[in-house]
Amino acid sequence: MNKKILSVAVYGLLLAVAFAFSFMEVLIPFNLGIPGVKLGLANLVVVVMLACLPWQGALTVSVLRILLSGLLFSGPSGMLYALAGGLCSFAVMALLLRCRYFSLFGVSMAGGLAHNFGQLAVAIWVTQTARIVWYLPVLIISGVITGALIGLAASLIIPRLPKRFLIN
Amino acid sequence: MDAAKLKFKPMDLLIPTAALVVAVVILVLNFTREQPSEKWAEVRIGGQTVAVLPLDENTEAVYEAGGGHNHVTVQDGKVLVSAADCSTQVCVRSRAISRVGESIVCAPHGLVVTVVGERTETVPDLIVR
Repeated sequence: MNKKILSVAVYGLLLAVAFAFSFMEVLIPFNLGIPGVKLGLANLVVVVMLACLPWQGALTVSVLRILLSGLLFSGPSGMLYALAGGLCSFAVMALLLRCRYFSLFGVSMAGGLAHNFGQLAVAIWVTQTARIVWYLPVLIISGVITGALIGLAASLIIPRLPKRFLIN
Repeated sequence: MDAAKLKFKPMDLLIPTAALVVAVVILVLNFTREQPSEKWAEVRIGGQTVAVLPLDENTEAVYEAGGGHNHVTVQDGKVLVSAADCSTQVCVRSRAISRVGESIVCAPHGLVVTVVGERTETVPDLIVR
């Protein structure tokens, strides 16, 4: 099959899945009982993409997903938080994945942590209140737990992906 | 995809371990700070202090913030956001706070309620527009 057509189809599909995950979390929030914390199911798509596809494509889908769900669900302020978290997490995961000492579990946990640090940084900037760093322990623990869960899910999904999806 | 990336590696443990150590250090630092006898709840909107409420006095106030409203209630020495019309409702679900340094954040409205041990910032009694 023409590689270009395949790319359009695969990336379109991945964007749709990531967006559907965002929507699902709006309908049924998995917040682990802690205010301000969520599982971040859409991040599962980002981890799978980073592991299987060129990073440029993964980044594009990730940013488009954040813009779409920002426009539809969370509004401009929510989009700012999601973008900060998403970009921090993406950068950390893309780098750590190239390090041979870490598996997807470590990469995904570091991504969860980076996501929460990015969001806290925006919160400090928006509210101009440095004291909210005391919320960091909650964000650290939730980042590790959600990251581990996403890493586990990704490691189960990746071997089951059809081979012809893996465009490179 | 390198199949070895799918299996847990010992070095992966480094990340949660380091993270937990940092979390515990911050928690210990926070809880060993001495609690003063007099405390206030400082309400800030977009970095601007709009009110300082004494924690030993039960009050309820409504603040206009970021295109919406937040109800801040002081009760039994604790402060909480009792109601808000923000999209996430994170501030409303946050538990009541009373220790110095603890905060409740309403990110969509840019409102932060923090417990402080001294009245450092002065608030005008009345703003005439």
